Amino acid sequence: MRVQPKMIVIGGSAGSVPVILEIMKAIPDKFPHTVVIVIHRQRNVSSEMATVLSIANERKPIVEPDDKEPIKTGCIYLAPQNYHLLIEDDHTFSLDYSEAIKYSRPSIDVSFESVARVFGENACAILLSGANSDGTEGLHSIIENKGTAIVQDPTSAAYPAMPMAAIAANKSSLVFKPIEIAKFVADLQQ
Amino acid sequence: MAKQIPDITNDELEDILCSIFDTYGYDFSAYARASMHRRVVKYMEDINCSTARDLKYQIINSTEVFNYFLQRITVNVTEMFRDPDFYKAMKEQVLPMLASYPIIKIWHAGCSTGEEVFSMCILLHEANLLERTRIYATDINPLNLEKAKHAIIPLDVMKEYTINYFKMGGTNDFANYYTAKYDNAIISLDLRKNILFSQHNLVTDEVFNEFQLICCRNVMIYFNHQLQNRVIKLFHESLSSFGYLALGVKESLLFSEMRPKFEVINRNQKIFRRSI
Amino acid sequence: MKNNIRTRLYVGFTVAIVLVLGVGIISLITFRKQHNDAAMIKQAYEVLNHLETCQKALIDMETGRRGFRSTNDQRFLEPYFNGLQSIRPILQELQLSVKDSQVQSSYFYQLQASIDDILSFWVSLGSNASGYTKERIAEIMVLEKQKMDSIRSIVDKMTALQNALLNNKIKQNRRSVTNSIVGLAVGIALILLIVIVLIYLILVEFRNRRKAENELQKSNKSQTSLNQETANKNWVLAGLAKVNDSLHNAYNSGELTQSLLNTIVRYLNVQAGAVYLYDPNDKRLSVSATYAIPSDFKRSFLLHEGLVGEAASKKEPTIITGLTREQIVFETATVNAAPAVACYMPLYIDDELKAVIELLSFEQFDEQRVELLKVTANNISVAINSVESNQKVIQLLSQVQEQKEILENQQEELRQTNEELSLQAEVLQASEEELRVQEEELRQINAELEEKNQAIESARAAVTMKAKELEATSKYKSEFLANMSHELRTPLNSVLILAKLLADNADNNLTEKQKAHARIIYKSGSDLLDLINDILDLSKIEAGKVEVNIEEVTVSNICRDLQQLFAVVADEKDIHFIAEVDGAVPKAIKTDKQKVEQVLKNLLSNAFKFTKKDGTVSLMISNYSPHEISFSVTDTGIGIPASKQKVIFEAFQQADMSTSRRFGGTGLGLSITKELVRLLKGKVELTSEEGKGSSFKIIIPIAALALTEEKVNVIEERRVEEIWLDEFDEQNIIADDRGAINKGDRVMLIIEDDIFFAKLVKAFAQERGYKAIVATNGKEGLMCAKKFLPSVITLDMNLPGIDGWTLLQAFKNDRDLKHIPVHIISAAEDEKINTIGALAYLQKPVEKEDLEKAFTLIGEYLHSSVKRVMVFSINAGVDGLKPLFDKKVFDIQFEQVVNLAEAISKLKSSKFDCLIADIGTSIEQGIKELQQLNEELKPGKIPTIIYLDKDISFDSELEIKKISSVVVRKSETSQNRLIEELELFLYKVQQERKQSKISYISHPGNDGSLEDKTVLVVDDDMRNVFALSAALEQEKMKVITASDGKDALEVLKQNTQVEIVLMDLMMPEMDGYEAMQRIRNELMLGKLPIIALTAKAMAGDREKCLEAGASDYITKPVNTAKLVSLMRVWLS
Repeated sequence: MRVQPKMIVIGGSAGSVPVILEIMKAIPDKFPHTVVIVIHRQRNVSSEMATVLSIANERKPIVEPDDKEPIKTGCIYLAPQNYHLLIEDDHTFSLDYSEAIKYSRPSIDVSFESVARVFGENACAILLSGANSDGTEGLHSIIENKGTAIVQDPTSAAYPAMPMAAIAANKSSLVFKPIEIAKFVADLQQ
Repeated sequence: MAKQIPDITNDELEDILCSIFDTYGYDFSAYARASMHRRVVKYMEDINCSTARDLKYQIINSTEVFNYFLQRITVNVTEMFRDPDFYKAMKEQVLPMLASYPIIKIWHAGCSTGEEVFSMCILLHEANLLERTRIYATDINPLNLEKAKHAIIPLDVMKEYTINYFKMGGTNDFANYYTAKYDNAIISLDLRKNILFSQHNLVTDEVFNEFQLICCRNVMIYFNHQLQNRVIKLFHESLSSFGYLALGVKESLLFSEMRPKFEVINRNQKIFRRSI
Repeated sequence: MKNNIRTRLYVGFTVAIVLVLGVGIISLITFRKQHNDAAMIKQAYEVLNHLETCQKALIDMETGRRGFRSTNDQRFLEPYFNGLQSIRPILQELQLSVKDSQVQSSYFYQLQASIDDILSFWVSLGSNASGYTKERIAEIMVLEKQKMDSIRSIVDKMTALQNALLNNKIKQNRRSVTNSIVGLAVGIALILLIVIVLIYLILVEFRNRRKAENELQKSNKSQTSLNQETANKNWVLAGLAKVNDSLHNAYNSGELTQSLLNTIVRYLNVQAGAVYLYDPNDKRLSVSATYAIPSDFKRSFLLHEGLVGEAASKKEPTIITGLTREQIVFETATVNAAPAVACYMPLYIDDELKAVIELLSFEQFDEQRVELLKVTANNISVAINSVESNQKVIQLLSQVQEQKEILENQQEELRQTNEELSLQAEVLQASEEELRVQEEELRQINAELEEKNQAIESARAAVTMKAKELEATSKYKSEFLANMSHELRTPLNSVLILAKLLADNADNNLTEKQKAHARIIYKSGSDLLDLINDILDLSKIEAGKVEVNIEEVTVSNICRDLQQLFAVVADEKDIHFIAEVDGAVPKAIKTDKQKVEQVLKNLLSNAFKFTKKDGTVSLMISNYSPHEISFSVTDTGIGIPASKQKVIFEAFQQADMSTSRRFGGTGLGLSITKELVRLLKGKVELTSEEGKGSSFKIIIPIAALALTEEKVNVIEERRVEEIWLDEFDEQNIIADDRGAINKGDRVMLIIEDDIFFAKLVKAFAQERGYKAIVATNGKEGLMCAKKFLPSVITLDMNLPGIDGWTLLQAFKNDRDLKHIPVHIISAAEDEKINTIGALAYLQKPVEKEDLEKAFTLIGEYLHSSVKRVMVFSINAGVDGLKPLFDKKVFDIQFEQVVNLAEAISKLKSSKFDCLIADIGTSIEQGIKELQQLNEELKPGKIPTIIYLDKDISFDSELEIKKISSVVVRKSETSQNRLIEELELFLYKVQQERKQSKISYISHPGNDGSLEDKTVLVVDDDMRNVFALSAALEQEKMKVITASDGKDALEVLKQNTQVEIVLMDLMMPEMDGYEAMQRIRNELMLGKLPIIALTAKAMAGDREKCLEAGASDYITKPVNTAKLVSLMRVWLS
């Protein structure tokens, strides 16, 4: 049976880069799902994050999508600095330069909610380490739309505030250690 | 999470936008849906309105409500020297070329509250071009234009702009460009005297002049593909031969059918030039 | 106990009563039974009696009958008749008495039957006995006797049975009587026993009762004394309650003590009292409340001072009796007596003295009072304490309240600051977080860089080591080779000399064969020596041991020397040898003559080597560039296959391994050549075709003055060229002209993947005098275009690799290629392509005629491609455009004129494609002259680019733009822009730029209503102004223009003839709205029709226009027909 392509959206802040690298490493060559990574990044600073993440998995280049760029299955995308990243119904990316949400742009909540809306049960949100409460409401949307919600185990997070807030508000989310998250993502192929 | 989050279906949203067009003439139907949806829901949350019917009723029946709605639904976030690398590229690649025009006309489409226009003025001033430049700064929202005309910026964000200015490669004393009063700064009038602020709606309005440079940064991200095409066509028609088009750093012409009519001047900073 | 006894008594009595009842019942039953038995016995006797009577009656009757029979006397029958009468009742009675017994009853019925039998027998005999015979009498007698006997036997049986029954009954009766007697006796005995026990128990109980009564009496006595005590206690307790009551409701210590003292004095019924409070701060007791104490007494005491002070130091109450008047006095109105007793009660909490109560009385203080004092002491002290602390608390409270208010104010301020701070903190937190992420990113980059650095470092180290090794090896090799060569040459010399000697055969003692062998030895030895020499040369050069000696060399000498040298060989091999020096070549050059000659010798000897008889070898010396000279050695030999061309310069390589076998040679010649040329700062070029010959071109500087250590690496340069070519697969299916292109050829590049069609186009092109190059894919097409810079390109859209679409973009975006006309021949969609700058478009399938047409078009285009541009320098002194002419601009002929007259005459006499008007700083003059020029040239107008060197005002822009839409201001980049604009004019497919999309179709029914009317067009969009002006002038209107609202007002003031205004809204200085309002209000032109032009299309905008004073409204882009009709309406 063909695997239903999923939209995996990863949200992270402080302490999340190493975890994302671990997940990147676990992504197999033939990966039938799309990955979108949303990290709180500084604005007006040139960043090499896409390159950094690409290093972890050189076979899968990481793209910072332009506005209205069509989503390609099997690709890995990184939310650009200083924009919220949203998904349109026709599966193109939409950027948004509106107010920062919870002081963050890109906001994890915004992307999660948008993914939940468009992909419903095929959405899989992964929330990682961070020192704020971004992602909590987004995860709620994911769950409401029957998607899969995964939160990094706070004990394994360098900054547990963000996963803790998310777990407190979303009891039905799965709590995984980084290695389990990586395995989960890799296993999605089957 | 007991909070009741209002939601609105695509059809309901369509219906509301339709009614707004009928009542007020603002056409939002070709705005990108994801962002529009988010902003409408956010607005509903803030005014404690839980159903689309309520919202429609309120908007249609009160111009004040609509004005507030317009203010909230259009994005009015801007900053001076946003993306310093872009301004650097402007300074190095575009302004020298503009210098060969005896009169330079620049259109800032979707100027919001004017911060980027002022940034451009500073750049032009430093290149000794400001005197022969005329900037047409337009926005859909008249409130923004009012603010822009006053050019008052809170001092605390001015600090951030100063940092951006230096990142962009500015070497002058940034404080010379504004006068600080209480908690605010006013951009000096000398910089602003050649700006014309005017209302213009990219969705419905037409070409109104010929320009050597059009800046339309982070405006078209709120439009859908068709509208983006229309706007780029409008820009194309508004540009003189070899005129420059500057978009937001994440806005691409790649997905536009007008792509062949422009050549790329700076791929990363999304600066293009009319080639045909 | 009592209970127990009572229960026992009850049980006892109950048992006794039950027993009595039992005995009674038994007796009753016994009597009843005996009575019954007696009746039964009586009945039994009755039966017997009846039986007897019956039998007697029967016997009487028998007797009677017998008598009668015998006598026949009736009188004898009398007993019979009596019996007959009495027998029936007897039988009835008998039946009654035997009815209880079944056996008896059955006997009775037998009896009755027998009696009836005898009676009926008797009756049958009748009452007449006269007829009886004796027999008869005997017979009757027998019968009678039988019947009587049966009766008798039955009666006997009955009697016997009845007797037996009777006996039985009697026995039974006797037994039951006995039983009854026994039962009664036992019952009575038991009753007696119980009564005795009961009596005993009652006696015991009596005794106990008496004892208890005694005890009760005793306890009653003690109860009474207890009651007394309780009363005392109650008194104390009531006192305590009262005291406690008095302690309530007091809010300061004075009130409290006064109320307390009043209560105590009254309750204890004493005459006077006082309360002293202890102040721990000054350690004094001071009066706080008094009762009936005179006012002039000491109010405060230290500890141990006086009675009060002394009493305070103890913890127990102190009672002092027998006080005299002298000791203390208290007065009343009536009493003035000495008190008898004083009592002092100190009040402590734990060990802390609180107060002392002093009471004075005439009576003795009984224990109860003291007790009360003691009991209340604690409560009082607590109360005093609590009131004191209460007071303190209240005092503190008010202070706290005050402070609280202050604090609240401060808190509000703090809260606000806090909120701001927390907001800032959150912002900070967010940016800090972003920083952390950035840090993580940097860390990652660093790690990566570190890794790379290490890799690079180790690679660098390895390279350095390798380089050192190489250097050393190379040096060893060279030294070794140099030495070896020497070592080899020495013995070889002998071998050669000896071989030569042998071959010469001076002694003539060798056979021809031997001589031949000797010649071979000599020949091989010579070859070996050559090889060794070459190796030596090469290694010397490589080892850097060869020095370059620059001297002045006469070129012709080199030529002559070489000609002489090789003339012999040429003659020998019958090869034409030509050596020529181009006339333009300098006479002498500065170089190393020896090296040049060595190189040329090498090349020439190769050339001769590989050229067959009747072939040609030539040496041509010519100028390569102003600074370089070239020596070409060309042969018609075997040639070098393309695949080998790049390797033959490598040491020990030849075109073919077999080559050396066929032609001899060491194979080092070209390597040495290459190295020597490198030393001379020159380069080697090779062109060769297999089977046709090769040409080596040595290019060296004319003046090798500054020969430095810089290495000019021929190989390196060649490689670049090779990579350039290697990047795409050159098609080799269609033979084209790429190898035969000369300067000045018209080259057509055909990019087409359809081989058949490509050949067709190629043939077409060649027929028409083009050199044709065919590329079969996009990449090759692009490369060929860059390499050959063709005059024209034909392009297919659907190509493998880069498609035609992209290719066209690439051409148009390439500075060198953008002007090359591109003719599209494709099956793709037409529309899209026309707009993107191609020359023309031909749709497949293509007929021959189509192709001819296309070529005609191309021909025309190319024919006219040499453009003539006039540069009109109005300010003759300034020649700012000079560098422009020096720049290599394709196919443009510049002609400069310096005055108007010259310009006009030239323009009139010949065709120019474009005019560049350099008006420098004299704007006014420039505009004037250009206007004159245009006036002269009317109706034709030449595309003009104005070049100026001065700022112009926004107003004069309009004037300038009227002459030319392209105005270039002098700046750093203005030259580039000028060229771009020029190219746009000259080369791009000129799509007439739609001026603001104005569509001027026709003017149906021109009724002349607009003729000669004056219109003011106000707009800052020049394109729009010109387009509108042009359209309106066609309607024969007089057009005046203004560039903004201010301008328009001025114009209106001065030109009163203006009949209608077209007003743009979005303008600088003064926008359309304001201008219209002012026209209406300030200029009082209320009726002047004003038509607003606006780019805005929203519903509200129209109203805004009309409000501001517009008469009507038309949206941009302006539809002229519509505008014209609108104007007619307003002008009619």
